[in-house]
Amino acid sequence: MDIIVQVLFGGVSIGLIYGLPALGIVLLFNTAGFFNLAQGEFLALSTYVLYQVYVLWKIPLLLSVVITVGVMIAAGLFVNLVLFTPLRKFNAKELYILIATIALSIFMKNFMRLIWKSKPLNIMTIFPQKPLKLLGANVMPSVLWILGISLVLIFLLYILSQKSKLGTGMRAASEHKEAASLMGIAVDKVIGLSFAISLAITAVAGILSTSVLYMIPEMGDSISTKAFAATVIGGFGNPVGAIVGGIILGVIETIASMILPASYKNAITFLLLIAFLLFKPTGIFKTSSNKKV
Amino acid sequence: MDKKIILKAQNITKKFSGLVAVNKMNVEIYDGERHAIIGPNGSGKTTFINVITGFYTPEEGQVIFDGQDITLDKSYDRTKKGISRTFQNIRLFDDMSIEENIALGMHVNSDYNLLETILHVGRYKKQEKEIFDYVHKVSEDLKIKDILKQNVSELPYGKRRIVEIARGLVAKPKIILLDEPAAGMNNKEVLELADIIRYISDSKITVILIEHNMDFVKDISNTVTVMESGAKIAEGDFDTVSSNPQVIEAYLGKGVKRNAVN
Amino acid sequence: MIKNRWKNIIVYIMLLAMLIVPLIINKYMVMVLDLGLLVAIVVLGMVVLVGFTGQLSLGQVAYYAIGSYAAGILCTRFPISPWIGILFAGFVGMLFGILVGIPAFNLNGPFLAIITIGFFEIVKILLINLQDLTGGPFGLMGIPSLKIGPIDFSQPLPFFYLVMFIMILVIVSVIRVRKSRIGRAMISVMNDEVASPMLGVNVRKVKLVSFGFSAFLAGLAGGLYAVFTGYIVPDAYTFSESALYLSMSVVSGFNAILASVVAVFLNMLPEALRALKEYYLLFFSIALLIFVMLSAWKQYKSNNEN
Repeated sequence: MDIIVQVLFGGVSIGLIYGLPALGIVLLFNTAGFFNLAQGEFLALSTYVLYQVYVLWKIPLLLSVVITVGVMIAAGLFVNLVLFTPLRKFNAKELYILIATIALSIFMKNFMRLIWKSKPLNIMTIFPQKPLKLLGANVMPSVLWILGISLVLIFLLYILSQKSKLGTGMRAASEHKEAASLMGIAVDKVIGLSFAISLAITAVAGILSTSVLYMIPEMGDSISTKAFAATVIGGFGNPVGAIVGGIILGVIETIASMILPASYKNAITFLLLIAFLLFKPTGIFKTSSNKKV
Repeated sequence: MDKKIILKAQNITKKFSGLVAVNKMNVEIYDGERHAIIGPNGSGKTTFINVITGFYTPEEGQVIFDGQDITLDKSYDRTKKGISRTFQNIRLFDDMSIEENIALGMHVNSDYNLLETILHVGRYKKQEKEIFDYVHKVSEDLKIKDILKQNVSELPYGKRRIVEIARGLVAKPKIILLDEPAAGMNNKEVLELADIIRYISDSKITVILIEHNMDFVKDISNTVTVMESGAKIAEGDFDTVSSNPQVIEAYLGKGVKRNAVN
Repeated sequence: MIKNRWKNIIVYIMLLAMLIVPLIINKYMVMVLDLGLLVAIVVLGMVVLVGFTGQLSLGQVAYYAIGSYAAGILCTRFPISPWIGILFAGFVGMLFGILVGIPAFNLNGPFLAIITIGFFEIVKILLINLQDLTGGPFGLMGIPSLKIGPIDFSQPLPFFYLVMFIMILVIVSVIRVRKSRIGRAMISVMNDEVASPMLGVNVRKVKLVSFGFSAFLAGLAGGLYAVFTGYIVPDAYTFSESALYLSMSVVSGFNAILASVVAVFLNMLPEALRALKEYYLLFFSIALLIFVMLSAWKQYKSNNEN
């Protein structure tokens, strides 16, 4: 029993760290129409920014968190402005936009390597280290923090998407860009905002991840692929699916790492991903799509 | 004209998530005829064409081509058997010259493999020569030989439609389906198109066309089938069909201008 | 026409220069040049897969690794000539390429890219963990080198001429593929998967041929790498290599000759500018971004003029 509780808590919390950037990828895809293969790098960058502000500059934690999220939003808006807005204006081919996100990820990885070097760092102490007893199992406080903060964030996003004008605009833009712009929704503004939101979510995931993951400049690669796996498993384009997919991935990974040698953990992710793409490409939550002649 | 049926659609039904796009459609196309399918927008014409070319599999019914049931055949097999087509929204490829775009249509009439390609041996040389000789012949007949080296983006709209027809013709089909070939063409171009369609007919190729330009349909077709709401409501020569009260109502009911059917 | 002739003359001069260059640079740089030629062979495969057929692969280094290990394992376990080993490497690579091509029936763009990344990760995990077969993290040692009489192709200079010869054959093959019914079908699949079948193109077959062809080249290059260095470790194969292969093919505009020049040149660059080595990828990524932006802008401008 206690082992099940432990696996569930551990799996769900790591799953949320995949699920949140996955949600970021989906939001961006739904409004801007491209896949950001650099989402993992943005998560990595947020961990380093937090490290810089909180550990090196010794700024209080709460303020450090606010600064980190702020910096990531600014980074997102900047990248959107100088890179993706012009590409969209030029009607660039999908391949070129993907290459741009790949180039961006190479750039960010090497930028982080240059500034913070390749040695693994950690700030696992942002949350208390003493395990708590919960349903007979030992659960780390960090796990509870991850669960709590993620749930609050997801709830806020849900409210935002359903109740606000922005949410309506985002949904309209994701369904039909031209129609949305005809209806007087400023598509550029909506895309800029979804960039900001996407990166804010990813920054929160990055901040939370520092309590359970070591940071290295290359950590974005595995986060990106896992976040993508989460979006596929959940049903691409579906925000709820992204979170659920992440959680499924996290739990399965946690179980697998107890049974198999640790080095096979990543293989499980990809086998699961490939199985989904081959046998259930629509994922768990289907989003409709159609092609026409 | 001999009365051999080349294509027969029997009881075709195609639905999209509950919505019936084509409803128990029956059409017989005779060898060598120029058969127009008309009807208001959304009447299911293009869907019907897409069932015939294998883009959609119908929920019910059969497509019989040249005496063979091809309902479940893959699109490329149908092309190989002799059904080629053009598209309502032109689908030519900018990454190839016009010449290559047309030559792509000959894909089904050649079969040399990768190794022969790399080593330039075997069937490669002979078939490539055949391909381009035929591309040049058809282009000459369609009076587009002077634009073969150009890019698609340099061509006016009307010319692009002719190039698509050329690509369909080099497949050496028994039947060619033209999806709104006159759309976006000026009067002069439409006249040229009519000549081209007569030329296709003279080459013993059956023509099925979907068209909105009624003068053009009147001018070019032997038989007209009228569709509405996914079903056939009239069939016959143009004059018979255009005086059919149901047809007139179908068009006027949809708010299409009155003189369209006269 | 005249412009084309000049283009050809420049290409021949460049090729000639490339034949002479290894005689005047030091041995280490010749080795770097050799590795650049191997990269060029992989990138030529990408030209076909991405540039002709439009299938995005971010895991091409997986076939390179598979080729290396196929040749390595075959030639260290069995008394088999490394010449057969490199061919075997190509065919094993091709086999896996075709295998990865199957999901491409229904997927494209980023989803396919993710599959190829996933495939690479799985290959890497297996290389490290199947110790009995692959030697695990310590890799395989003592892979025999290619020899003809007294010529030993594990020496950088003879190896250069061998790989140069192979690369030219590959360039010719890629150009011939493009100018054939197969190449036209590939372009058709890239441009329009929906219309292609109705033009008589069997999309699945074209995809498998493209994956198989490009993976054959990557496997062959990997096999050549194994018999050249005689020693392979899993760490040599990284995801960023795949990203570089893709970037190089894109930067070349999917032109076979240009792709090989770009590959060789970009492989030499960080070695030639030692001081910049640390910043190389930083600059490369910025250059790539600028390139993407400029080509998108050029496309946009030419579309708007018409």
